[in-house]
Amino acid sequence: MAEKIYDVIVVGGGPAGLAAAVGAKEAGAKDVLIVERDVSLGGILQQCIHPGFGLKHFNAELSGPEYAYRFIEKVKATDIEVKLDTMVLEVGDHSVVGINPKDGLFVAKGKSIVLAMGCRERTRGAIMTPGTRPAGVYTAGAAQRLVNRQNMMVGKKVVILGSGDIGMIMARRMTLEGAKVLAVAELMDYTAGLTRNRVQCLDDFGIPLLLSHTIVEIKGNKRVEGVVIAEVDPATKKPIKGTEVLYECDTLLLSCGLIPENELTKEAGIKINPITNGPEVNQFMQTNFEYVFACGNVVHVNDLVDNVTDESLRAGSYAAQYAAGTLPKAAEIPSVTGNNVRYICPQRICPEAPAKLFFRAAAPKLGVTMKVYADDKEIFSKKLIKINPGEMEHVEVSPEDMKGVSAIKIEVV
Amino acid sequence: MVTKDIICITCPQGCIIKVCGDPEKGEIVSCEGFKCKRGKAYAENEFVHPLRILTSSVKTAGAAVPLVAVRTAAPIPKELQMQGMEEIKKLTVSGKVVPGDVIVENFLGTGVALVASGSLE
Amino acid sequence: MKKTDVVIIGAGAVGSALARELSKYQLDVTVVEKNADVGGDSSKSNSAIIHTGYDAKPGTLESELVVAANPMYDEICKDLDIPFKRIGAILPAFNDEQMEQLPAIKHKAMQNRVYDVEYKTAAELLEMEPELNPEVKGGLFIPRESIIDPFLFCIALAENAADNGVHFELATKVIGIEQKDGAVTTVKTDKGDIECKYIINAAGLYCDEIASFVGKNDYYVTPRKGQFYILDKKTSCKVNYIVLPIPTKVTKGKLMCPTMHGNMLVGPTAEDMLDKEDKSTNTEGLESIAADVRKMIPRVNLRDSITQYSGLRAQRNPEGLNIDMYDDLKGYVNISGVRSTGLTNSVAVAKYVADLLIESGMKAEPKTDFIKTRKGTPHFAELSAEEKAELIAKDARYGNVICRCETITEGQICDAINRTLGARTVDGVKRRVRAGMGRCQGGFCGPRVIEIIARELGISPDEVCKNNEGSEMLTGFVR
Repeated sequence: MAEKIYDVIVVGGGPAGLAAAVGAKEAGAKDVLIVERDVSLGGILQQCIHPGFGLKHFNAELSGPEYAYRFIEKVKATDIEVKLDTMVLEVGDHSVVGINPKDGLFVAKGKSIVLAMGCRERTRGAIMTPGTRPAGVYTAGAAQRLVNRQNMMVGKKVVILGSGDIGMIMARRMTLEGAKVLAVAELMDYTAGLTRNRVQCLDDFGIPLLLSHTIVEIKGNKRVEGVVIAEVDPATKKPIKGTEVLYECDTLLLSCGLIPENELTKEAGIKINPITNGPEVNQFMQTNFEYVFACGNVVHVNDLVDNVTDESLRAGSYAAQYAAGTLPKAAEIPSVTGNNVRYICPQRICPEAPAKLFFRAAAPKLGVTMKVYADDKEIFSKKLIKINPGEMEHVEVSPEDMKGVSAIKIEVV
Repeated sequence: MVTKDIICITCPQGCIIKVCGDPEKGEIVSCEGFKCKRGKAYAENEFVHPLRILTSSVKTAGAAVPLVAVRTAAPIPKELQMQGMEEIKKLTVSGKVVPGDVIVENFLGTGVALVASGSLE
Repeated sequence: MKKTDVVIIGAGAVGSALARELSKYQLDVTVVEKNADVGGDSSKSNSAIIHTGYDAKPGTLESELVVAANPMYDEICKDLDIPFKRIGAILPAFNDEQMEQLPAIKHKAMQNRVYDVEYKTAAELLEMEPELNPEVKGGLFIPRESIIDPFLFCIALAENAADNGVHFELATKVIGIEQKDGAVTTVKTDKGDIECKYIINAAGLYCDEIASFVGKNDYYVTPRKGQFYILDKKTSCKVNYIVLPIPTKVTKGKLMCPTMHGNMLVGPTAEDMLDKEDKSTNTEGLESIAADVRKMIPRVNLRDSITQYSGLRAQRNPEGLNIDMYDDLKGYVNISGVRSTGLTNSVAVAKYVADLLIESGMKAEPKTDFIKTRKGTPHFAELSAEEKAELIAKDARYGNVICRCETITEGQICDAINRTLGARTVDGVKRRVRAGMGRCQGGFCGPRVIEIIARELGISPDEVCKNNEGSEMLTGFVR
């Protein structure tokens, strides 16, 4: 029997991987494989039991498991092959090396590969919170899994560091499940997550939000006994001496940012962008290895799962086109960040096809204009009431705009 | 007569809208600080009768996983959230469940059902 | 009442090495350890270096034992199936003043009979260690300075001792020692008394407190804190050697070196403390490491740190390694002044103490059935594809990767729990097989590890501890 060669292999069965597989199938790919390390599909959505998903994509307010269910049903309705409980150890030349208890160590070959590994949370070690190292310090996502999926309570008196969405959502969850949340401390002078989460997760339950505050010490030798919170100088972010307050608690949850999970990408030698920490891609979500595509939070941390879905459906369809040999190929031009633009994704553009460029601002600002230039020529301009690094913006450029052009630049002034 | 500052959550701008009136009687005397119609409507609703979707999880029996996620099918009065949790803690589900399956009809007498949001094989 | 021949107090490196050494004889040996796991306090939080003794104070017992211990490691680590690497250390000088110190350092090495220390030119050093500050003027190379996994080292010693019949009483605190007619008779613990003929005080940081039970505390121990960073395996700036600063009068200074598993280790500070329980890190200490190490390795990227920790060295006052027996207290051995060289020293201290006891008349016939070797848990990630496939075919749990950062499988975690002196805690699993030791620090595998420990030990998940009693990971069930 000839060795099976998949058209598209998708690494990861979370929201990005599911949409990529569906997108590939819809674009005509015959053999599609999803490799997922968890026991079920859906990734992080399965533990995000709160509402707020799908407003854009499904025009309905869904919980994470409901959003996942809709895609899992789509996958089940096709002949997309799924390997659960399977860890990919290596992305090789048109292949992935995986491992699971049933198949053991295996190599799957694919004409194209889509990376959809998502992201992970910054840990206490990464943010270097000083103090002792007791039990009871969890990232908000790990605590969310324990509470919402494994039926395990992580603590009774809780302080949360970081006002990321998962942190605020866990403040509400812990309160609903019977714990006391003493405070959410945030280093910046604005919340990292969405306003709606601040209102519905903190304000609704009277949980204090301490902006421009951080934890300067964790106390307790066995289990957490308390954390010392201090005010920070908004300019330097350094704690201000004399402002320290001890909060007696048994648990500290961290919601201090997400990092794209690119171990496999880096091992494979795929080019990583230092700003996004994800692979550099063109508008087809194609990396510098032309048979490897990437989508979702592994490329850049998205604000909404709906955006991940949209991007991943496209990535899957382009991966299918690549497998079929129909994806356009041309000398690419770079997208260039101008004033107050932190990054643009994609970083490279194939000028022969339309491109949707996503970007984030470097700093929040009111009353701005975003401008797009083809070399020196302004091709688009739009006034915005407000720009915020927490929310992604996008703009579309057409092949006509890019004819004979050597770079596309975006700026916010 | 009370005045409340309501942070609008209908879009990322987060306008602070000042609403004055008697929420008990559902009377609104003034509403200021909104920048759009949707914001005005949100603030007035939030002033008179704030609603929230309640989500949590219910214990399973005879299943491979210990919990299944649940939600109210529609928003319920905000002040009923903790009472809702007390009800949810008493429940157990078993057998095959898919999102949307009704767990409790007319949850807390709100007319809104408590439905499964996750699935059980 | 329990009865044994020898009680060793403390299961750190010295206690564990002693346990293994004495298990070679027909003796009943019991180790009493206050922590829930072997591996000690100072023995698990240090720079993980096996020293040569090149810089010890010549003519001291410490110098003699470090120098004697270093060559023993190749065989011991092979026997115990634990990793060990002779990577060598470099000591770069960056100014004339430091250059002038080199001959004295080399001379001291010669006095300590470490004859293989060599001068290196700036060009040679930069070729060996491209990340070195290019202003380097010259330096020394100490080829036999080596690295080890300090957790596995202690665990493997203890495990092998247990396989050879040594009893380990863990989570057991010594609260007194009884003597009669000028000889020790009983060790009193919080879990009951143990009648014995010999007591060896290998309590490290707490050896003065143990000694006080028998009035032999003619010294005291203060903790000297050392804070460290561990950097990601993928950090942008890595070194090949143990890079040591030219020492000052106060401390050997802050170093940078690879760990046995490919991370970078940077530190330590040297802070004199009073509280022996205070193993906290602090911003001042961590920042001082950054400033010092950058002088040697300018590109060191501490933002790639995955964790920071601190350990407490046992500073004896007055200073110096002492191993004492007493005419007026037969059967009692007091080991004090084991400090930063203790990890290295342990195996030589063990032999020295065993000899001392036998010389003093302890009846100890060599065993004929001593099990010299130990088989470690398979290092799944390091196996070839065929070996991996074979292992999974034999035990499907090796096909279930639990810790993705370090590629640790369920099979390894179960082995760590179910082997001799197996892991009982989350830290116990982490130290044996490195699940949770990687860049996500257990964020992904932590919840799964708790489940596996609970299942394998037949306990409820909310009883699983991080380490000692009272460090429960969870506070109960949601429903």
